[in-house]
Amino acid sequence: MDNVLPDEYNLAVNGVFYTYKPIKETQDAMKVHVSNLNPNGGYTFRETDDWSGKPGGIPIIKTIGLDYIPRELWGDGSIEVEGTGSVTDARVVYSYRYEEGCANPLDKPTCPGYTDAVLELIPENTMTEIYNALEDENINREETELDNKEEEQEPEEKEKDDRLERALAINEETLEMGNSVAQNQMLQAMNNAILINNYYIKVIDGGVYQEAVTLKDKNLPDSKYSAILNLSEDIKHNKMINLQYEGNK
Amino acid sequence: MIKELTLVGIVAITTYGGSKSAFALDVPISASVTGSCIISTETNGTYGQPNAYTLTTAAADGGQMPITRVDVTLASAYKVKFTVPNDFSSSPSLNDVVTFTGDTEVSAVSDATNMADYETDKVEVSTYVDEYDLSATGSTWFKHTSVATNGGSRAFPSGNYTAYVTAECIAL
Repeated sequence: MDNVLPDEYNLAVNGVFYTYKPIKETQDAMKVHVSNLNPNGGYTFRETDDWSGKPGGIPIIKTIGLDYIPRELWGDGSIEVEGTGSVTDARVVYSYRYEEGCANPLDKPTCPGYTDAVLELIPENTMTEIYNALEDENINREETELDNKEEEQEPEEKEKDDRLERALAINEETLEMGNSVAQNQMLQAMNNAILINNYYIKVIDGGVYQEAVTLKDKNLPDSKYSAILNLSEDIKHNKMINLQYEGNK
Repeated sequence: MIKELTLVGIVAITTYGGSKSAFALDVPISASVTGSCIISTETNGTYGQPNAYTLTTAAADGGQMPITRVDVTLASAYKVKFTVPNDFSSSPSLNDVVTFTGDTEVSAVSDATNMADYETDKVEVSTYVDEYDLSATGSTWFKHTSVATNGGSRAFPSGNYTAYVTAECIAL
């Protein structure tokens, strides 16, 4: 059955459809067996049509449903004629299902042969040991030489080196601080732009507020106090005018 | 069967509806019957025209035989009746009398032992009508032939022609 059923993962046959035309005389005894061997012995599928005493020439079309029998149990198939007669135009069709995605073992970790396929993909020369710098003899030797040199340096020179290192360290810190200040300013400017945009796009409900002044009284009478005030101002005005003539007297 | 069941339901309702009681109640009795004899078209037919005055379903003449399929789930409960065309259901105006011939045959069976005799046991009711007793459960395929010949060997007028094969499942 390897040349009939595809090589797919978890393939199981759930039906067999077959057709053929029996060639025989009515009086002849004839049985037709459509079957598939079971590799473990016996038959996985076997259907028998008894044409004995029946006329030939009329094709049979038969469909048999099955309960998903794994492909491992499907051996070679055959159509056997028992008795007198033959069959023509025979055709057998298997209905099956399979689990998709395992055509290649690398499709899923659950596919058979996945581990082997992965190992095959990895070239042997890429299997390197983990490098540990602390165990590197060359580095250790270099460190030892540096330590010895430092110890051999005179105190004054050592102090100079220390000052220089401190100065450089301070300079780097200053630059980092400057950078951080500049970044903060940029962030603040960006935040301000975002915040102010909210006000620009804000739409106040209501649109235009119309003036709504309401006067209770239709007539506005002159105030009595304003009349007195006017008169008093007139008197004062006249007095001031007259004062200029009094000096001339 | 469906019609008989419907009739029983109507009688029951009428009896209750005719009551004068103020507390009358209609109690439904429902049923759902799935067809146990199903006819379906497997292949539509086509007329070929071997000559000007003949239309035929023969494959050799460019035609195609219609094939019907009958499925039954109850043995010996139905017979199927086929009527091949004896007239066109639609055609251009004909210029002469058309003579029809035709036949129905078993095309294939799904059970060798119990269906192989269907064709030999066929009842030819008339020139155009054939009946088959469906004595076994399963599927049976029937092929139909039809030949239309225009009178006087006159050419068929140009146009579209349609004829129907009628299939009926009849409960025994």
